[in-house]
Amino acid sequence: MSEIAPMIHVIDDDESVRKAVTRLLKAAGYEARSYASAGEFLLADPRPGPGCIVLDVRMPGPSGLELQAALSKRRDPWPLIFLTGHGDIPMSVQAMKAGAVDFLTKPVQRQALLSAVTNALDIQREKESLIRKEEGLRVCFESLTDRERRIMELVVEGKLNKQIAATLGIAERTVKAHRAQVMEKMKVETLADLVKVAGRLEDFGRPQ
Amino acid sequence: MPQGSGSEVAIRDSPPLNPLKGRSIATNGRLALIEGQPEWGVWRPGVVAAKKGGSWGLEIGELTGSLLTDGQRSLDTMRPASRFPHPLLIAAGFAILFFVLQKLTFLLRFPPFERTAVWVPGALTFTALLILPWRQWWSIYVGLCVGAFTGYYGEAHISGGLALIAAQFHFTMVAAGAAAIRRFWPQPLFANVGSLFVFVLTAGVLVPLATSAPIDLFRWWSGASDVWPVAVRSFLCTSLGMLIATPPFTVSILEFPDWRRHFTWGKCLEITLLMLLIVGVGLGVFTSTPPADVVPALIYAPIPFLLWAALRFEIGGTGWALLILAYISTWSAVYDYGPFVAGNRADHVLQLQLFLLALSLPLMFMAASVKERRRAFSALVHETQERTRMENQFRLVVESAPNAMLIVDRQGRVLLMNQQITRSLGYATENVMGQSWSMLFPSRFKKLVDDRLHQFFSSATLGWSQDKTQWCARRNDGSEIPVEIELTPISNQFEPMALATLIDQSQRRKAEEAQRDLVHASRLAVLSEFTASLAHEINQPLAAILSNAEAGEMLLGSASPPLDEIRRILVDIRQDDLRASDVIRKLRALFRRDALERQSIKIRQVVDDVVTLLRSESQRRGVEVVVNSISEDSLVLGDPIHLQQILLNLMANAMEAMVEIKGHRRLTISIHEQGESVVVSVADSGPGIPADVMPKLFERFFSTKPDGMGMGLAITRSLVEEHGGRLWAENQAGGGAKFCFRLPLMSAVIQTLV
Repeated sequence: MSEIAPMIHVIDDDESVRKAVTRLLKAAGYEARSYASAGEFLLADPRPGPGCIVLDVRMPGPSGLELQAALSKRRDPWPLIFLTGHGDIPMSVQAMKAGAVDFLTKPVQRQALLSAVTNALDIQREKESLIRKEEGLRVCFESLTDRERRIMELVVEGKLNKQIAATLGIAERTVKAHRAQVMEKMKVETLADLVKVAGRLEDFGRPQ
Repeated sequence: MPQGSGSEVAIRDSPPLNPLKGRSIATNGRLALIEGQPEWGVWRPGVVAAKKGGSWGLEIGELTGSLLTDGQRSLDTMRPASRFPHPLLIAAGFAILFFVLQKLTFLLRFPPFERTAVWVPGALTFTALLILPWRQWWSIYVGLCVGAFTGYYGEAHISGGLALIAAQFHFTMVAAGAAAIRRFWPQPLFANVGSLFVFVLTAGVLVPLATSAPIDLFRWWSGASDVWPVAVRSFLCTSLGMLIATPPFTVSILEFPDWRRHFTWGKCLEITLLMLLIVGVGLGVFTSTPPADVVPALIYAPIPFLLWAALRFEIGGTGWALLILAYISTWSAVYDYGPFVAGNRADHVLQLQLFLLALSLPLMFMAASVKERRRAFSALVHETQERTRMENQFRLVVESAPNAMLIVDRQGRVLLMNQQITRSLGYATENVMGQSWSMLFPSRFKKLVDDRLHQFFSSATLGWSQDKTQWCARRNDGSEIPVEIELTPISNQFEPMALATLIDQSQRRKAEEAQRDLVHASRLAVLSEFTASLAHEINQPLAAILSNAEAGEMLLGSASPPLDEIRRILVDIRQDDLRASDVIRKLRALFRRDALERQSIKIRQVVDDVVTLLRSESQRRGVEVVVNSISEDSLVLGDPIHLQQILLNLMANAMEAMVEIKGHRRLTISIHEQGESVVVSVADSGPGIPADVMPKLFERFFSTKPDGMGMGLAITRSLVEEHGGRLWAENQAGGGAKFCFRLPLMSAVIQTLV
């Protein structure tokens, strides 16, 4: 977990709304910064870190959805909470599909906003820890030798030691030793855990 | 040449002596055709004269024989010379006629005086000089000299030279008489007793006296024995000739060009019959010699026929009849027949002359009197017909008017009403006529309408007045209808009257209501397109208020509430609240159905209001709205809502026009003053207006949108026009359409009101 307090970025062209939402978030104990347009936000190019974006859909210049599309290309995008006066369904569907955390209509109740923010921060945090976990796994995985990786692959496929030995043309005993090495390096106790880890690695693509 | 054209009839029917100035006339073309605007003209019944360019047109109609003069203008200036034959032709014709008449005179001479009873050649000269223009008189002079010389040449009793000298006398005297008559004569000639009297005095007394006096004096000087008897007979001879023959000659010559118009077979037959009878009776009476001791009653036998001529053919016919009788009686007397053969021949002539004088004068006066009566009667008939026609026309006009109309006098009594009163108010004519008009109004208005009428009549200048006050008229069944009263002054010669028009306002009010509904519906339609954006405009401040309030609440819950921040929050809340209510107020005004009172309003304010209202809509559509105002403070007089609607429609159109545009969407509103008006233009960067659409742009039910009603621009235009302005559209040079409207500035409106 990071020590830095999460930063909420509020983007709304309407000054009073922007000011009020920022004020509310600050009162709730968050760090908050406001931007009058998507362009202003992009120009400010805030440092990546824990936090989320609360933004209006319709703004002069690039709209909220356009900003969402632009941000999604980044490696670790901030979670987005849309805040809109025009709560039309097609737009919210599009926003949610593109990965928005929430789609709130103005005027928004404090609870709804704050819970959405909390939710967004949780999601971000989760994502963060997930990423961190995967990074750990990748480090472990990368510490395996080629032979060990191959054996891990076959183990995960559900092959028996005898079959592995036959496949690779090595002694069953050697397979056993490598297998123990793999279990140790991947920091797992059981075969089931190894399968799970492998699955996760599979999701991220096999680095090579 | 056109015969009897419509305008000729119009002139004939016009009242006498009205100036023709500014009127176009075309006579029937016999004398001159005058078209366009004559410079000067007069008309009397039957006689029209008008001048245009250098030429005169003169028409002599029913009053044949009138010599038309107007003040200083004599007949000569009025008649185109071309009307008469060549002067030499006239001279020749005159000479021949004079010669013939002269020879006839010689045949009918009474010895021993060598005078005839009736000397007709003098009348010929007189007639010619009355009719011909001054500048053609010389032809008569020439003709007279030739005729007189040849006529006397070879005669025993007088030499040609002497005849020539006598002709000089004769011409001088007759010319003087004719000139006097032409200069001073009352019009029209022979047509009334007064003018005939003048004629008798001039032609029957003065001219003969002046003609024969020199010869008589000469004879007296030379010691002749029978000066007096000769003088009397000679005077009567000339006088009778002039009196009897001049009217028929003049009338016949003047009427001759017109004979076709008056010709009927019946009349022709009557004239022939009358002439035959007169000739017959004349021969019968004047060739039979009654016994000397018997009163010659037979000589009265021609009188019925002469009366017939006088009554039916006026002075011309009477003259001809008398002339025939004169010749017959002279002939018979000269050759010793008939009743005038008592004693010697010198007495024959005198008796005959006195007989003819006694016969002709009363008949001529009677003919003139008959003519005068007939004219007066026909004028009366004409006037009566004219009046009836006018009354009928007036009646038609009043009846065909769509409004209830009545004529009231000073006291408000109804003198005339049209059927609309019966139709729309249900009163029977007989119940309203003669009653006070206030009976047509509810009792609470009775005093008011009477006051109003009194005020109308007592104002110094009676003028058209329309009362904008909404009155009510009371129907016969007691129900009321809204009316507007219009009072128009009309007056006859007796007293001023008022034509009151009651304009039924119920239809108009319904129409106004419908128009108002339409304008309102159209406004709602446009606004409904913007519902989401308009809601957003209210929602935004509400959202800010909620968040601010909740933030404040949270801050208050903290251990040490930051009061400064809370104060700022409250300020913001207040502002946002005002902002929301402002939007709501504007919208409510736009949604309201009724029109507002016209007020002085800054056009810039109207533009700003609408632009603000449509801010999020234009944002949604990605349209940049720019307001260029050169005239920030231009004031107009108008209904703010209608002015906003005008802009709302134009902006909605402009944004709609740019939907398909991929590039920059820009809507530019400019305001600038131009003279006494302000021009507001709304320009877009769309594709512009296609040429085939342009002319139909403002038509109702014309729309380029598939679901368009086609009312927007039509209503916009009617709203602009209601404000005394004009709306038009054009394509910009750089692409895109531009709609402009022009409204009169407040200052200009005030000026027109003042």
